[in-house]
Amino acid sequence: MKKQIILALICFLAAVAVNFIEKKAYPLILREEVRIVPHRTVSELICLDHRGFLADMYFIQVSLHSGSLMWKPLKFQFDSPWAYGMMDVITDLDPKFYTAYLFTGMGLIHNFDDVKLAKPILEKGMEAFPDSWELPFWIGYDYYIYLEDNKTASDYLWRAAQKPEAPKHFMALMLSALKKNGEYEKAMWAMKIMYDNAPDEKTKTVYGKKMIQLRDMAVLQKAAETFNQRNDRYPGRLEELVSAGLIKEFPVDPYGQGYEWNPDKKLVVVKREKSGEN
Amino acid sequence: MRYVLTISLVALKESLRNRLFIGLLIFLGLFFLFSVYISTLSLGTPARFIENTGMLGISLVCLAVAILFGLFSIYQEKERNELYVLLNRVSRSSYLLGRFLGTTYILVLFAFFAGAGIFFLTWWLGGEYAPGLFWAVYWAVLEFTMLMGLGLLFYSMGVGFTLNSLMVLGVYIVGHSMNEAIQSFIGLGQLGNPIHMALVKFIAVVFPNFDMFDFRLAIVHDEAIPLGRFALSTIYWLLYLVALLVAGSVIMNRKDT
Repeated sequence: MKKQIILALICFLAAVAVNFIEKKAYPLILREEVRIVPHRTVSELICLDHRGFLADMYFIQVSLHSGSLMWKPLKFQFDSPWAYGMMDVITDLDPKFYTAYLFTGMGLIHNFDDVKLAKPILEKGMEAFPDSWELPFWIGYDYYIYLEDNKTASDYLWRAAQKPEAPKHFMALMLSALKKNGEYEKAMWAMKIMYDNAPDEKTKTVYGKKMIQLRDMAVLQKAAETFNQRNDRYPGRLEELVSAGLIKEFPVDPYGQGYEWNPDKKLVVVKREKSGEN
Repeated sequence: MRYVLTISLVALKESLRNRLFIGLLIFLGLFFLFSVYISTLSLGTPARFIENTGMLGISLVCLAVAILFGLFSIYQEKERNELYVLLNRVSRSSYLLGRFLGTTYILVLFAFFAGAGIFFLTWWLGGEYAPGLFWAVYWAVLEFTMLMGLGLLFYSMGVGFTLNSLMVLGVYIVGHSMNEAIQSFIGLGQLGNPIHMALVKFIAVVFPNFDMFDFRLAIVHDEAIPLGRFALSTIYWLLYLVALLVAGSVIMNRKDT
């Protein structure tokens, strides 16, 4: 009996040693993982009502794929359609998986176009969490930073700012997006909040001047739109708005730079100093 | 009733002495470790991962109890069953009900161990106080006692252990797929032969519907379960279980006569 146990033990250890030698002789070659997006119904069937657990397992799979790119050779690339397809299934399985939505908009963006794949998932999250400011914020942030789509960015950042728990520290980002998109009235609202929360008098003075600037730009933009409606063209120069009787007098920029019409963007902008001009 | 209670207590004592009991406890312990490991990959939400994995653990342990304690031991002790019946003049149906009750004690014990363990881990490692997990224990007990009742019905019909276990597993899987099945087949029913539709609806209504006891996502998200839903699921369990046990008893009693 004792001999048999010793024999079994020796055989086992020998098998382990052979396995160890095999690993040394034939080192592991990194290969792409098997990546399939399981259909939602199939996932629901196989999980036997443990949707949360399956969602967690899928989530780990996606986060490991995303994180492994930090150490894998460059030939391994992020598989956006798979990752976002998985996130869609995950959030179908558990529509209240908040971290999954956040991860979709934050950690999972590897390529610029991923922003477009993330948007519908984050919008699904906005339906499940109507009071969340983070979900619209991340859509706005991603569109602003990665795609420079100021229109979409300002829309979602604005929606984020309207949520009850929205913090005030992304107002500057929203202000920038709104301004670039020509939404000066909304930008004024954001500037007012920044003004009210300014840490000291000096900052308050700066914000106060910026508010005047935004107010002027809002008035000029509105007048330019009216001008366009009447004449079927935008003004060549903003001074035309005075001669057309749409504004009484041309506003004075508190910073002394003045305003001008940008025909490409069809927006009133602050005059930029060019070499030898202004 | 006295016989039923006595047999149930004997069944409990036997189960506690059984090595399977220790084996299942070890399995449960390993599952706790697994849930803790999984929670480290959660990107900052360990409580959720422990709860989800833990609830899977409850289901697996309860399934094992239902099959190993509820069915395997009753087949193993078939001879003793006959002795009970012959020596003590206990009816076969009383023996069946006693065994059912005894296994239910073990089921409740394991489900409670599992629930308490996950509750503790969620609180300790996840930093969340989740008393809702004890509802998961409640629903698991309902679900698996019903499954066990079904296994005992098959037993009373003279089905062998292997086939019985496979049938119980099959019913478990089908019972959890009712909503998905209806959704998948409803198109067939709408577009095709109305008999298809009637058949799908018939199966969905007659088969045990374990979807009734699925409140796991609500528990994880700490959402209140509507009282109506709670009552409906509990009444459904009670009626279905009584039907299964009565049917099993009737079949067993016919063997006495």
